[in-house]
Amino acid sequence: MQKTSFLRTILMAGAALAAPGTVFAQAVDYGTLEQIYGQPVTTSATGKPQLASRVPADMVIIGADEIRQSGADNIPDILQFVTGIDIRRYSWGDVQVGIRGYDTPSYPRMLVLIDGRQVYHDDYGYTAWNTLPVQLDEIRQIEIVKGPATALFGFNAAAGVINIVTFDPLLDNVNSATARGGTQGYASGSLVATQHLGTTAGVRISAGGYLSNGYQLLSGSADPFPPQQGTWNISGRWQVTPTVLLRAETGYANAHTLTQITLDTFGDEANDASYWRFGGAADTRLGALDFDIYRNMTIANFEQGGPLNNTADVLVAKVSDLLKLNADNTVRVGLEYRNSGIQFSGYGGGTDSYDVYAANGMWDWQISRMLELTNAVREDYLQLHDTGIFLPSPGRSREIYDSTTLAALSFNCGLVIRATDNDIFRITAARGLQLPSLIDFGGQILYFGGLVAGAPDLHPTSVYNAELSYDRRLSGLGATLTSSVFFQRNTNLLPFPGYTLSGFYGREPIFSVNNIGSSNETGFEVGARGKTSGGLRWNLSYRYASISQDITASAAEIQNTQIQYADGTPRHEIVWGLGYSLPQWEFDVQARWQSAYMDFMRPSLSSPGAVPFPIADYVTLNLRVAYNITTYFSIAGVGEQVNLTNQIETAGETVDRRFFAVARLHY
Amino acid sequence: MRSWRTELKRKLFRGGSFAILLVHLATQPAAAASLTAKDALIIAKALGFLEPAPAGGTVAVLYGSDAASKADAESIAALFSGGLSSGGGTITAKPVDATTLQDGAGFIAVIVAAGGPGEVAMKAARSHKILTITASVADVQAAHCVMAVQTDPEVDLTVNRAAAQEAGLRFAAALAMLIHEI
Repeated sequence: MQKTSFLRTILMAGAALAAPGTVFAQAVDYGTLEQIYGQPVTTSATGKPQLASRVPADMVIIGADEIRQSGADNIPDILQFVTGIDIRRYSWGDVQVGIRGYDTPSYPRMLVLIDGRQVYHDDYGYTAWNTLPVQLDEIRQIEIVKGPATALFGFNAAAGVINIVTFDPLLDNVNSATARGGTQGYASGSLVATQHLGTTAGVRISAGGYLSNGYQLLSGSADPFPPQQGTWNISGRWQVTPTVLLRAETGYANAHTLTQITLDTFGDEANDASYWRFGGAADTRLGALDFDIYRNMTIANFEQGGPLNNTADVLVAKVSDLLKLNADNTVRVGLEYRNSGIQFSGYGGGTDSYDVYAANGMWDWQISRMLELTNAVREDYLQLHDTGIFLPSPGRSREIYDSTTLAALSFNCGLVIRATDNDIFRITAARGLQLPSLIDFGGQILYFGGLVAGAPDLHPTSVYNAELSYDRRLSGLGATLTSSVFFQRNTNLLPFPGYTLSGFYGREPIFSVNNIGSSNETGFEVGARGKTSGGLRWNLSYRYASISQDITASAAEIQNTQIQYADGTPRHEIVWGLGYSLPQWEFDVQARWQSAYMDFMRPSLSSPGAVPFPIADYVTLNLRVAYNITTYFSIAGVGEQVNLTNQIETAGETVDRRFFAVARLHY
Repeated sequence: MRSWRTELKRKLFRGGSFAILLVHLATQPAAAASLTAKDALIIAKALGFLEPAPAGGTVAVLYGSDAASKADAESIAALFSGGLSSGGGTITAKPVDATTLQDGAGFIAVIVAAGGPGEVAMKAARSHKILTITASVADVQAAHCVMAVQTDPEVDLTVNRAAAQEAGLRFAAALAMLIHEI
């Protein structure tokens, strides 16, 4: 009943926005604003359009040119050269992207979005990067927020946010066809086409996919489940009046990749992911109004065990208003409803879900030309639900489960100080929240001789972050120096998967997740990047991160030991890049070194837990040479990890040297 | 319906024209005017964020009684030669003597050249809801002009909020959030 009335409110608000005579507005025209200001514009820090150099957050923006010059054919390979980002590639298609450590085979601490739509999976708490229905050629910029941003984006924007911003089908005209082929039996293709319907509507259609033999197993054997992927997406914009905009999108992805359960147990993880989305924006005298409704549906199939199959469903509806009160003060208020559920194939097809009701606000105060203070706060109220057969265990009944609620407050505060035209300081403080995954909250699956049952009394992990950063523009060098030092405290840590024996269902042991303690992290980053008028591009950066943890659960209680976050985070990381552009040629080199860390691996199905799997420090060196045959057609050769034939980067597959050729037509 | 060849030719022509424009702008003698080629591009783009945005047209470059002001106006107008793309169409500019501007009818905006009388431009702004632009932040602070454009060391658009409201001018939210209001 509560859900129905809330949705009705949302729809009524949307109808009010569309009513003629009440509105006059425009969408964020990223391209023109970037032309005006000479730097990217983003809304990912506070929800209001801001210049990248002035956001009250530690943010990196990767533009379309940098994406192309990277030579990469997938987003994680682009992100690996961003300082502070950790990549764990367990197989060709199974890769997790983390920020500032706490890396695990499923990374639940970062919210990944495409144009503001969550593609993070609430069910298991991870992002399936190989199912994102977006082609690299249609990406305008990738925005990376380092540090919590829950007050704007909600749960799981705990360690950071990655927002993939695509070109606007109405304002941008992007058309491309790209083919790639290379070693490992790799072949891929992608198409992006934009059609403007008069001056008030535009549609962009994209599709792409790949086939590959995959990387090698640690044993040296070939990947038993060669990866493949296919996606399509349609995105439309309609400028209903000069000031009212409607958006509609839909997309689909099917991806197969190897997933590794033990050292010698593998499965084909196949995901069918689809979504639809509808929204709109309008500028009124009451502010810039926006509404957004979308639904993500994922069917996950794991060949090695039926009980692991599931169907996940996320429905999000939100409205917001951004209003500049006067010359110095801007506020943003928003309401959000979220329903996230997972239906298991085992035990009678039970469904676990939660409803989240959230309210958020942001206040931006331009104290002076030098000082800008931003405060954002959000309150989330969550209620758990369970349907289908319920498996009772000590302390866990349907009544307990269905009556479980939690309320959580998150905030972001940031002071930006423009000390001079060339010097910017930022002081930020935040509280982010990592919600337990649906599996941890309410899973009911038979898993290798035990029953995994959710724990409704789990608390979200709170991530407190304090940070000081300093940017200096080195005008004479055409370069910018960036630096930051941060302290992060995590309470109510959640283990991965870290199941503890909590009782018995008949004769079957039941395993549940407990909050396991707290941790502190300190670190700093320093880097510089520049570009000369002669076409030379360069960047060099270093990150240090150190985690100390206070785990309250004993080792014997934790079946899986992947909670050694301190050892599991590489302390040192160096990223270096050099590029040179001529009218027809482009040359790029990118390199990354990270220090050793500890991964974990379950030796066999019968083993009680995981064992340490040390990963030595390693270097990744990528090369790209491109030749522009015409303004519209180019060819390129790309070498990835050219320095080593096989690199052990995780306890999963090795990451192997790759070469591939690229032919790209764009206009 | 146009064939794809026709469409491609059209895009090639557009691309070529843009490249020529960039070369043209890059070779302009920036020191001769109180505004630069980059300023002119920014002004043209910013006009597209007015609500409602003008569907192209001519910008008056207002000059005062002295020769230096007139020369500045001519230099600024030259930055728009060939037309600059805006959100709603193509923008051109022409020097206008302050004594002949009257209420600004026929112009989509007024750029105040160095030495130009801002109060004359503001009168036109109030009469026809048109934007007035200058390189001088001080003139905007004094409400002699609505918007100041600066590009060095980084781009900054300064808008006198009261003057804009008095002229009935409003920017789209996306730009309104980025401009510096006083």
